[in-house]
Amino acid sequence: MPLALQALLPLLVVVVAAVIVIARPRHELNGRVALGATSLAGIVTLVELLRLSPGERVDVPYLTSFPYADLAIRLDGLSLAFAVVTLLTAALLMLVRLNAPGDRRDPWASWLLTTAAVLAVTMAASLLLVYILLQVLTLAWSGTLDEAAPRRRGLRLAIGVADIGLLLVAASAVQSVGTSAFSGVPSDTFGPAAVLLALLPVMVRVLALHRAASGTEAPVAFEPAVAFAAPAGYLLLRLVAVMGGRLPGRPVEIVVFGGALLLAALGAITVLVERPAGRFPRLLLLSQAALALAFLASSLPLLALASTWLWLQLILLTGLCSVYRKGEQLAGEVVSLTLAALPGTTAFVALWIAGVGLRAGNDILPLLAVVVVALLMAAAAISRVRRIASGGIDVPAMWALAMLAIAAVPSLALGPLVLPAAQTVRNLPSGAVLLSPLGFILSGILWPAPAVAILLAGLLAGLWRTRATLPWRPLELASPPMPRFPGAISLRLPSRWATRAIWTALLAITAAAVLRP
Amino acid sequence: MIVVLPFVLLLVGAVAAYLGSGRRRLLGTGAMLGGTAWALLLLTDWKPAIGWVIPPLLGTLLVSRPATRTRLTFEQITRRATTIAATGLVAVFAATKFPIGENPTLLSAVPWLLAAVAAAWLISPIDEPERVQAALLLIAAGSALLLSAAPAGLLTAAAAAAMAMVPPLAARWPLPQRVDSAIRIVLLLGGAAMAAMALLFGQLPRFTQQDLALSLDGPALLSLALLLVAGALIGVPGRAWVVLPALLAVLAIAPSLRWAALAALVAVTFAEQRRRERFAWLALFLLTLPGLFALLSAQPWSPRAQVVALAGSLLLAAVAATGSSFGVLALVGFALVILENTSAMSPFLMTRFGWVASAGAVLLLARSLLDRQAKKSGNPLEQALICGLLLLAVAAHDSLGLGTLASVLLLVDLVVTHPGMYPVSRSRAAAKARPLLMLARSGWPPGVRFAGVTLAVIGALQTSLLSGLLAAILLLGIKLSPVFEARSEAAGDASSRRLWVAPALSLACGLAPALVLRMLRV
Repeated sequence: MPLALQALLPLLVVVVAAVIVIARPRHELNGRVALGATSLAGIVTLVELLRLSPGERVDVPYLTSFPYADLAIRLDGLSLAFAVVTLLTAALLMLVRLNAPGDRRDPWASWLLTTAAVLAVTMAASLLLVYILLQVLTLAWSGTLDEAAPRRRGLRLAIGVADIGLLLVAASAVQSVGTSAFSGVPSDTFGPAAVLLALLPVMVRVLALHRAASGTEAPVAFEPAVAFAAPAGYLLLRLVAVMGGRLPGRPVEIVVFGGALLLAALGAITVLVERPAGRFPRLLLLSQAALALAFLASSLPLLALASTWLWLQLILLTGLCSVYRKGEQLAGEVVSLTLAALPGTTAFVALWIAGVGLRAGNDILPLLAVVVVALLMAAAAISRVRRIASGGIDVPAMWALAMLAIAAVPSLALGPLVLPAAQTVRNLPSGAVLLSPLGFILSGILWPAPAVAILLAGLLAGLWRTRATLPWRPLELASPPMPRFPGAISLRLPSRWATRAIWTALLAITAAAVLRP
Repeated sequence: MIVVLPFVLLLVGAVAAYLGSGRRRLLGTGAMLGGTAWALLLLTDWKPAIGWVIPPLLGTLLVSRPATRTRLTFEQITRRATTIAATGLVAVFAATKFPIGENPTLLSAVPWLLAAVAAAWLISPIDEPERVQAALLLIAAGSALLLSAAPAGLLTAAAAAAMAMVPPLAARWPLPQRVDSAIRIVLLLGGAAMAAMALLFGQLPRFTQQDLALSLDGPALLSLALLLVAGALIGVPGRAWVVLPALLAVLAIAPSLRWAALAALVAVTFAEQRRRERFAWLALFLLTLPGLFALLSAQPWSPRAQVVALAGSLLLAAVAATGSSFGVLALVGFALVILENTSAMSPFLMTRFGWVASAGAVLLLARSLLDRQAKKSGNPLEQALICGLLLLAVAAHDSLGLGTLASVLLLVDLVVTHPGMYPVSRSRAAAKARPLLMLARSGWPPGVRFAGVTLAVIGALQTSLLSGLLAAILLLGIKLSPVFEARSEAAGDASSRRLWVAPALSLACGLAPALVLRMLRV
């Protein structure tokens, strides 16, 4: 099969399915078509990823006539790994929705279009194309052609406005080097201002996680994992990859690292002090995303691996959080434990990698800061668990168990998915990571993942068998009173005088343009 | 002695036209035109004089004025007297400062004085027919001035003067809807043909007929296509044909003909919008001034002043068109002419253009916000922001022509997002087309607005950091504007032409801007 078609195949599969679903609205097989197409696209993408040689990057151009925005696809470890995990999450969400009774809405076309848009974002080969496709993605998930439509207008506008930061970054790349293609932008193109602008779309999507990850009335919320978490993570890692694996300058690294850790801590503390428990998964998802950003701010090679792992598992975890859970079910407990980043969960694997990386780099102070934030997050999540209980084995439960299995045998995900993606972001020294069925070895230190997983499972089983109620209660601290600001100050200029002043200023500038040599 | 006679004839004619009514006024106007033709004859040759005088005379006959005198209030009389005094003084000053060749000042002053009378009538007209008459005389006077400064032959002079007939023709005989629709379809087909030719051939050889020369090189074909489509979609009802003579504004080589064509477009599109019309005429004046002084004065304006005049002209055209019913059509004409004029300018000069453009973009935004604060309608924020970006895009000059491309795309957007294109209709066709219409007028990809604003930001950033940031702020405003301002929708049904052509155009340009760039041949 020609490479051009092969690269486009997953996208084609999803788009064709979307066309079929749009042509037959409310058809009973639409859900199965969507699920089948998404799964097939995921499999094709996985095959492409497995066929990729280590460190290989393939750019497939389709249209090269338009300056600065060649229509091209970039296939490398990062794009394919994110595509695989996103498609897997989308398929799982569709499976959950297929088995959810009572909801008469027909979301399949919108979900397929959103999936296709995210897939296109992860495969775009230039910053400008990524910007354009992010707008398509916003249109796809919001489904509102009318920009003034009140439905989730604030979120749409916030994302649209923040994306201007990415446009400016792409434009500055075009100005500096004549292209915004990933393959053509030298690593020293971007300065600190560009980095901060590029972080805007990432941060807004991370904050959107906090607003949208749960609490919806629908049985399954599709957007948080697929439309917010996946593009945010991909965009961040891709930008760092374009910058040569590190942020420009030590001050920027420190600011981003410190700011992100502070945000993560703030999320955890809010969970600890807040009385209603409903928002806690969203806040801890935000904390984990902030932690992933902090890891990436450091220029140590292993921290890129930790960040990549954390982002990829965050997509799956956000998906699991977006599945409505009644009362106490296994999926809910696994979500809480993973949000707590306890040993034996996927989130802890990232913490372990980061810890070893920081220790190897002799960065003791950042290590301590990360440990403190991780402890806060763990305390926050555990404070919300009252009793370990189990429900029936349904799709979310299987999903949760699969995540625990990945944590127990991390080599399964590290080898084919995370390492190629992390290698794209930052070169890892050869032999830095050794995979084995018993876990993995980092800088000579073994993480005995299966053993830890067995311990965790044993502990959970014991607590469940004894139906023990955990002794702690959420801290019920009163939130500090927020200072009240007066309403917006209305500055009403006399219209006529203001107009005259503006025209006068214009005339002055015109005179300067004529007279100044 | 003979050189004084045209001046005397003009003066007598002006007095008769001012003080008389009915036939006396008609004769007075004819005498003014006769005096100017006589002056033209003495200044150049008999051919341009003959070619020039006939169309305005015919046009004057078309303007039907009441036989009785209109009674004016004291304030009106004072205003008219002050206006003619002021314009006359300016004309006399210009005539003495910039004489045509080595001719006597009294002879050179005749076209200037005709322009002064026309401007005075335009500024404070008694009624609508006088406004039309003023437009006619202004077009004629402007072309007479340019013909005397840059002499041309019979055909060019006749063509330029024929443009003076456009306002009275448009005012007197608005076409019935059926004929107007047929003309619009012809315009659309013409636009499509021009676009196809621009894509396939790029440029055609220059057309020359005796002294009349038309240039079809560079982006002229695309400009023609855009003007034709704009005329078909947003032309003044019953007067869509006006865009046909206006095509000469981008084709003609003779400055007199270019000016007259654009002036005719302004006169018709801004009819009954007096405040906007003044801005538009001022824009036209600024556009012509550097060229005119380059012809008249031994020491032409500095290139800086010329480029600033162009920027000012575009800004004033944008001020006039923002919120206007049909003014966008004139803005398209202005922008295309200015794009052509600035295509060969050096980056240094374009920096000066950029200064005025940036200040202008801020002005447009501030005017709209102040009008909102004062609860005045007719200056929509969204259109002001798009016009601001258009200014920045025209100022952005880069080797690949992204600024020019963005300008063209933004002009297309201004045409396809015109409120008249989106009627509140309950017909089945309208319901079917509604999603497409909404996509076409939105800022989502693949609409033309998305492509235009994105390229404008990139182009502006290539010009300077400040310009890029300003463009980003304007883009931010465009994103937020739907929240603050409901989009206006025209009442009634729209023909299938508007229902389908506008979205098709928007999506085609948004999906394939590369093809537009190819047509531009930058």
